[in-house]
Amino acid sequence: MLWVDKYRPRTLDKVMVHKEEATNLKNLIAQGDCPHLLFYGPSGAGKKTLIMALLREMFGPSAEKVKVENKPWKVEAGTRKIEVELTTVSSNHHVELNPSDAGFQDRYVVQEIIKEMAKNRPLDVAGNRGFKVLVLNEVDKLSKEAQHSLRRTMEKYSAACRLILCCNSASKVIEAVRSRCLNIRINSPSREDIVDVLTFVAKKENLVLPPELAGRIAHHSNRNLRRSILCLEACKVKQYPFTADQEVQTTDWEQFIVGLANDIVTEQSPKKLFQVREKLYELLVNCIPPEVILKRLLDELMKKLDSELKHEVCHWAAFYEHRMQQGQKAIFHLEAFVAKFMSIYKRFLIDTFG
Amino acid sequence: MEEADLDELEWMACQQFPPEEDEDFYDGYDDVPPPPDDPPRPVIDIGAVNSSTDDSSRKRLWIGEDLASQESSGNAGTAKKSRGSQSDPLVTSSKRPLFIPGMTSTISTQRSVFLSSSPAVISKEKHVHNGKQSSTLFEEPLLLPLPASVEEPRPMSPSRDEEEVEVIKEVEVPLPCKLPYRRAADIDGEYFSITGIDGDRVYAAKSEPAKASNNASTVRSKDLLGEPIAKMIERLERETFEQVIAASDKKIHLEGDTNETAPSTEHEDLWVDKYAPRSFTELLSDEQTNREVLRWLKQWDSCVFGAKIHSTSEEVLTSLRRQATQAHGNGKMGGRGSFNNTVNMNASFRSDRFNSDSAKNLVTEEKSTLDRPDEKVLLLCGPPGLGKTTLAHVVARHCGYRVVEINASDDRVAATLQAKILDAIQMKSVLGDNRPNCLVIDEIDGALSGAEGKGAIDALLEIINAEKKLSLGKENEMEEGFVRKNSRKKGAPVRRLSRPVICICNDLYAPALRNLRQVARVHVFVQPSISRVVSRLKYICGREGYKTNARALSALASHTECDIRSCLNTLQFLNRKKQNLKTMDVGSQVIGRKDMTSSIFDIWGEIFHKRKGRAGKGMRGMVEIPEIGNQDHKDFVRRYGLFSNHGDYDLTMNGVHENILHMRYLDPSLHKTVEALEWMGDSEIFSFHIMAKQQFHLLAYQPLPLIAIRGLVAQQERPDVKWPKLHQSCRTEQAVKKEMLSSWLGAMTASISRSLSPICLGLDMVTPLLSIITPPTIRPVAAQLLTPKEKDEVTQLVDTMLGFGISYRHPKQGMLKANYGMEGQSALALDPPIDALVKFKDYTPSYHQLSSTLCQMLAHEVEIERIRRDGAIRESKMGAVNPTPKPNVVGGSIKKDDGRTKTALKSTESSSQLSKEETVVANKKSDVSSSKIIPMQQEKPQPHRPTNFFERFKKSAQTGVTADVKAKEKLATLQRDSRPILYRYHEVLSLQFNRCNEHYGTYTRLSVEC
Repeated sequence: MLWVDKYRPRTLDKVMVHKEEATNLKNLIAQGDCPHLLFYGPSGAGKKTLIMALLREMFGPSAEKVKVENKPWKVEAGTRKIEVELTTVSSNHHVELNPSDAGFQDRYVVQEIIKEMAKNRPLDVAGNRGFKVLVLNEVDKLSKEAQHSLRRTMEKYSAACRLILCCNSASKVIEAVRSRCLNIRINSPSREDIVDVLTFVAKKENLVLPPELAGRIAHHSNRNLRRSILCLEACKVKQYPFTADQEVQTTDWEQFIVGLANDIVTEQSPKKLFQVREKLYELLVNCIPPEVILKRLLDELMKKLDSELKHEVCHWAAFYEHRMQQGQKAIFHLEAFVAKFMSIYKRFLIDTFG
Repeated sequence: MEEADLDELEWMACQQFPPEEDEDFYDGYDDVPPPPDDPPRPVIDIGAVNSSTDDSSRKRLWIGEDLASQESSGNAGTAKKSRGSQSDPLVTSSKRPLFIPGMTSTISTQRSVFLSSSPAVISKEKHVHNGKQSSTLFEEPLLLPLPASVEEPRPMSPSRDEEEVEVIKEVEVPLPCKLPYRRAADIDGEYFSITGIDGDRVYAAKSEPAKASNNASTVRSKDLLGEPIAKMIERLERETFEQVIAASDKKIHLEGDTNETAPSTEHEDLWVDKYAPRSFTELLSDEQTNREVLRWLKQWDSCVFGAKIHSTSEEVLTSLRRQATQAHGNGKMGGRGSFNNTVNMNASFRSDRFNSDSAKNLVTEEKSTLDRPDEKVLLLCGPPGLGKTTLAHVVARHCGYRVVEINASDDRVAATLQAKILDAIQMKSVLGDNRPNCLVIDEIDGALSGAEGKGAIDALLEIINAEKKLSLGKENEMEEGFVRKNSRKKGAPVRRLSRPVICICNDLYAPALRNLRQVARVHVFVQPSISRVVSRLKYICGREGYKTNARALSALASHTECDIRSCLNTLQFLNRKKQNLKTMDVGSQVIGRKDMTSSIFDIWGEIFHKRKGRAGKGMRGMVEIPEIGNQDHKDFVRRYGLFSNHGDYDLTMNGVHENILHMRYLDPSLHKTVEALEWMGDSEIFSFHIMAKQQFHLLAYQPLPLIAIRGLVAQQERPDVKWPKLHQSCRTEQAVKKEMLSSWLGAMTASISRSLSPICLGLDMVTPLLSIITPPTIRPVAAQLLTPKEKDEVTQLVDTMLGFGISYRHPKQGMLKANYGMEGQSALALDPPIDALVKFKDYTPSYHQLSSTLCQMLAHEVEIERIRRDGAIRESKMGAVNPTPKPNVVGGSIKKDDGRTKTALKSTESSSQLSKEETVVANKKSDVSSSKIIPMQQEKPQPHRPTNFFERFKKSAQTGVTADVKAKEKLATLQRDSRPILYRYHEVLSLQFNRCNEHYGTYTRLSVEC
């Protein structure tokens, strides 16, 4: 088992980074009930960990006994029958699923599963009819229709089931759904928090972790806790005992983007742009989300830029990212950004050096 | 009132001297009504302006200092309105009559408008007006349009009536006028006589100002016409057009009269049919193509007509024989001679010679190989209206065939078509026409798409191809579909397609034609030159008596892209409407544009390729539009039509995107590229929203980004446009990897996978995970040689791998290799192939590559561990049924301390307390082979033992267990259970263990680290 999973806090008490949120959550469910919840925050911040700990807090250890099922859904939508297959993770008390996997049919899945859960409500300890929890991941990727269909079912079946929604960006969740939930933002842990966690892990593993290394890992991981712990483990595999100046591994795609940024800065021409396009395609093929590519690329380019250009380049990066969100073919906009950058940079070079 | 009359006169004059005539001259006429077939009056040359078309300049001369501003508005309504009421301010102010005492005239540009009105009508009308005449010198008004130059204003005649004076005053234009004289003697200089309707004869002097105007014209002609003549025609038409518009506002009774004399609705053949080329020489299509087609058809002659020629033209043959004997040396080559007479000659020669020959089989054999073209089918393709069908018909007729046509309107399912083809090539018309058939399958691409169309083409191909097969197996019996040769008297039936088949299509690359294309001879039609089309059109117009000019015709031809059918239909339509073909109309609604769909490469070509001087194409040269910017507008409209006709914006945009960076447009600071990419982005966002919101009417805006991009990047250099593949292939690959990620997620342990999503798996997990599972510290040695610490590491590693559902597999599981020695050579790869996620071009991933031996070892360990856990689950289930596990129950629960199994195993062996036999074939190939053997060889032991990696480390190799009956049963069930799995695993609890080689010898046994 990886350290990430091994040292994941199981209960709200043991949570290390989001202590405040954890206490609030604990108080929230002290009465045994809770409103619908919406967790949002960047990846690797600890949303899922909190949710799991919350479930455990609500239902006790039996919430951790989960099984994975590949569940076929048969939904009757008007005249036609739709068959969707979804992977669900469920325990006796809750069901987790990724409704956006169903593609454009996510709407039916969302409606159907809530109804189904409402049908067989479990009994709670006191013999009252309890409720089940439905954890929906990646709500921001749900289609608007699905989100709208969610809003009525959320209210109608609120007695039977609680929803815990989890997403990266709350702005992509419609207002109506947001207002029905208690929104909880999970920030990325601060660098100090990460260092604390890393030291904790190292201590548990009986390793000697130089604080400098911990700091560098925290720095490289971009305030992503999951990644920093994985990185620590990878470092350990590579070389132990640790040294303070040990090489900290960044992910391969990031390395690749560094190379890409170098390419862009060295030459600005349509020919180079074509090579860049091929590399961008490769990144996209390897399932790197385009907005991540753009952000990362901007970071790298910023390092090489003169300060007077930074503002402009940032502006254009934001511009093209916005367009990217509006459209579908990310490559067009990524490439347009690169071309724009090249154009700006080339003009700058000519102005400066003649 | 009189002006009105004179207007009519002028119309009259126009009627007699239509504008096409070189000299526009207004002759007075005296006899009313003139007979319709009155020959044109002799032209009295006043020498006004000798150019027939320079109408505007002449007008200026005549009108004198007529205000230029009045010109446009004045011309519109002059004549007709003047008739309506004299007090009409517009009319009076704008009128510019020419006065002769007692008669007035207006120079009007209305000629063409009233061209259709017959003289009879006018004359009738004139009489009406005559009755109203107040005071005139003559009862019949006479028109003498005597031009006067601006420099020489003439005094008004004193004898005009009041109204005229008024008019003149208002206009304040001194107009040239001339008094007709009663006596010729009163005129000095040249004169001519005019006879009125009542027989009065007057004399009028011929004009003097000719000189002045001549001077003026010479002055003008110095700069060779101020504006191009096409422009003037254009403007003239425009003015006429405006006048028609103005005229249509007022209902004048003239129109009613026109209707009376509307052309009779007698039946008229379509010009297209009427003037379809009848002979080969009349063909309009490309000479080269014509000849090639003819040649191809002629190559059939010896096959189709071979005997005929022999029987008919004996003397010709004898005359030819001499030549034939000479040609006999290369007779086989000559058989396919390119000229029909050669072919004929050879054919006839051969038939003649062999007729007296006994070797008839030889004849047919030789003929079947010689006397037909290689390609049995001719495929003509090209855009509509270029004369493909006509060519086929004409050529076939030319060569003496009876054309049997199958076109799209016929039923063309496979069976019907086949029957028809067979009919056509086998049968012969009994009645009258005994020419051989030539099958023409028209529009083969259109109706033949789709499943049944495919069948139809297959039917055709079958007939063609079956012959080839038959020619291989010559002895075969005659089959249906292959006809007896025409010359049946020779007695040797020849099975083959013995009649030419011509297929005609528009789109050569239609999917249905793919197979046909390969066997057929293909001729692609190109547009005939515009001049050829125009000359033909001109000829037809001449024959039909339709007045037109070459410029308009060429504009029409270029507009329809030389589709002569469409040209003719348009002309005939206009002819029936008694309208003239005007250059201006060509671009307008009057003449419908063909809805042409271009291929996608044409679209890309249009975007990237700027043709050098569009004039070469004809548009600019032919249609001159006064406004400068109009050419751009025209181009815009054309491109818009082109792009929107194609319709597949997504594909178009992908192609642009993929090719744009290879185009060599001048763009040093990449501004153009940026802009083009922004347009692409716009288009993409736009199309996404159109699709998402289903607002398809907004698709109308989709061609615009393409046009904009074209404006940025179009070059004169011929672009090398490639089909866009990158985008599609990337999408496919991405989908594959996404699928892999999510299935990988499914394969993980639930406790791990629930906190992950596919995206963060790819983003955060893969790289560190790969580093973690490929530790550089593990030595590739046997497990028992590892230090305890290393063992611990390995155990942890295996645990991690298992938790994440990762193992090592051979890349191609389906491929089995029979020879056992090969096993080490194909490297083990990660399964699922997560290393693909960090694979980039020109980039080496940061994780450490494990040696293949280590991979094997790990794969093995993972497998053991998995089986153990499965067993543990099974055990726990059984344990749930049986709360007290007996020692002879398959023991998984005892091995809770996973990772310690091996040591446990050792103790088991030594203590004989617990025996654990793991029969694992570590290597996949040997394993699979053995698992294949399993079902049949369970009872029968086989001494073969495959060598594999793990055997090298084996110390106490032969560990066996003598299982008791119970254990054997258990074993059997286990074997059955594990059969689908490649690895076999036996866990047998037994108090005593035995070397039972006869039972286990089949398999490689492995006692790991005993």
